[in-house]
Amino acid sequence: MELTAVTVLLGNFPALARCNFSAYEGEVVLISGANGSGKTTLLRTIAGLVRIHSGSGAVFGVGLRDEVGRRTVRQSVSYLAHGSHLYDDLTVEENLRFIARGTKTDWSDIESMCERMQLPKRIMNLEVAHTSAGQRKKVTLVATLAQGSELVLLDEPHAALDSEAKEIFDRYVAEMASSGATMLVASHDQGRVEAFATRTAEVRGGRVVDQKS
Amino acid sequence: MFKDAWLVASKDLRIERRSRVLTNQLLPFTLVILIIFAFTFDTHPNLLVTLSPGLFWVASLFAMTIALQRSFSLEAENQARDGLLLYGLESAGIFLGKVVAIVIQSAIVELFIGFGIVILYAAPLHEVVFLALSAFTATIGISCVGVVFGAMVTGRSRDSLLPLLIFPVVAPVLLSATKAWEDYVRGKVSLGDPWLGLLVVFAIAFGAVGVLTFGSILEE
Amino acid sequence: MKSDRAVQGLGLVAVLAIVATYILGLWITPPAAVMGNLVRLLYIHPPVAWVAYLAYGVTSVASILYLWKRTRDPRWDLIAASSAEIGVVFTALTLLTGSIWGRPTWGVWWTWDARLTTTALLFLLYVGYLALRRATPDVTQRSKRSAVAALIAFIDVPIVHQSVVWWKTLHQSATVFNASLSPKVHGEMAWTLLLGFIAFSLAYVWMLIRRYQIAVLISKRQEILLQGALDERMSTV
Repeated sequence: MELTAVTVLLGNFPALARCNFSAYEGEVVLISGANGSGKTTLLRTIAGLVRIHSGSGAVFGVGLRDEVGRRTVRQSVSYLAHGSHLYDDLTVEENLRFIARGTKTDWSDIESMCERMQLPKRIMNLEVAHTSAGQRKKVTLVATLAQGSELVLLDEPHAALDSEAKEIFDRYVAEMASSGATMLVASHDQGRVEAFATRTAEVRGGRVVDQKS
Repeated sequence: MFKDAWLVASKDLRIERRSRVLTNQLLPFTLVILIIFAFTFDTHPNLLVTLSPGLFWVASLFAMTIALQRSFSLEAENQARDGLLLYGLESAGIFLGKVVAIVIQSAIVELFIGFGIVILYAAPLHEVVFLALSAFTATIGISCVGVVFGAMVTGRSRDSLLPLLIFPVVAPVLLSATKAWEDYVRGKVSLGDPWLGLLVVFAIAFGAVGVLTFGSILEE
Repeated sequence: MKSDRAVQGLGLVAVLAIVATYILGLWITPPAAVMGNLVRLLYIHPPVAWVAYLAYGVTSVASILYLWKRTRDPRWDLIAASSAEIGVVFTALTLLTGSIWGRPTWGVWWTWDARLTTTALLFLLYVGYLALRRATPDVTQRSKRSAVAALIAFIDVPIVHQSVVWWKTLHQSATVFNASLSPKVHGEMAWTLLLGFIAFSLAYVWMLIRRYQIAVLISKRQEILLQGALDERMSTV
């Protein structure tokens, strides 16, 4: 994927300012940066969720400028966002089943991912509104990772997880990384991600300013 | 498209069944409206019977507006709307799914209001089959317009705009549905009723608008 | 600038034509047989209503051109919005002058005649359109959504009109526009009315150009502000 001089506006604020960034297959990039630097907007742009004001971008060779391209891109990436995308009134299982049918993911893949993330069975029938923040995060992780996309975007995957869950998650991500998946991970928990990241990109003032391997 | 529509509709209806907004809030609300109408028109008891078609639609429209706001506010919580886009659901499918869920909920509300006016206003119903048919067609039309506008304005304190956008557009639907009803009261019944025709045209036209434009409306 | 001169000239001609219409309408033309001096509203009310419909027509065409992918251009959106604003003003004037006319002729400020009802709903449809524009800060999103709203209004108007016409013709006979209120227009009256149409159309064209120019300036200003914001954002490095 590649972004060239991309500017993205949130209202009249340029959240990304002529940002250049690219990542190649099999890379695991840690995206670091202060609050408000533009990390989340960078990921949302790559996920095809926001319109590009100027500049050009492509994911898997599909342009991000037009509506049809963004739609294709949205389908082909997995994105773990700040918002959980879950419906509070539905149970965990109902949410996961909805996502599975929406993304055309096999239910068995979801189930095995639940085991992997050690999602307790008893919360499956709990309404999302009645689960804890950490549990919700796990559910979202399951939904994101089970899709098995070639490009995975993770925004603060460690937030709200307890140390045990972080370990489990890190082990899985390291495994994915070694099996050749492309991942972009925005995190304040740098030490954890650096362990398996192939390179670090720092976002500042709406641009990727510093890249080091 | 239809698969996605069914997925979205069944999800919305399940949430509805779980949260019980319909039974705990909407139905009591329409009952209040019916009672308030009775207060305001109590000078001539017969007036309520004469006015019942119009009162029925006014109450239904208020309830539908609330249902529409609810339908989109639940996509706003936890940014579920982004989720719908990311899962790759077809926008036309999302549109139809939302419409189906709203139509089903509205049908329940309208049935309730129908019982209400029969019992509270002693209004006799004529030609129930045709009545249901015209009401159903009108409901589809209103839902199509409502879902398009709902996706445009809900969230970020713009909810108050929804009635201003919907009501003038659906004015001919309310007029047609009310007049069709009055025709049935007079025993004028046929499938070629011009009012029914207008309702069908309206539903088809705005269904098409929604299917064609929903993609660009949904995206941020 | 040469073209700006032309626009200024157009504005001047429009004002002169409206003044001429007033002079002809108020002093030169004779009072009508039945309506007396009330007939003088004839020179204002129909031209104003015509401009309202013209403005909405332009909004509809521009919006559809915007929605159509091959002709998509932000300028269509600005034209649509500019025209809609003028349309709302002229619809308000139509309703106002109609009311002033209606009170002495029919004895009421308002009547549920088909044309009146359609015009009132038209007014509300586009008030909603403008409100939607105000409530949508993002430029592209605003363009797309308001274009869809304009399309909906465009489709809705004939349906509204048809339903209201049936409403009136099927359920009670038209009592409003009877013969005595449709004065036979001839001679200098016809010329004055024609002048009125031309005058207000010119005024519309002038207003549309000016409003569009303002809209372009606003979007240019936004671009400059954006440039500033971009520079500021990039200098935080």
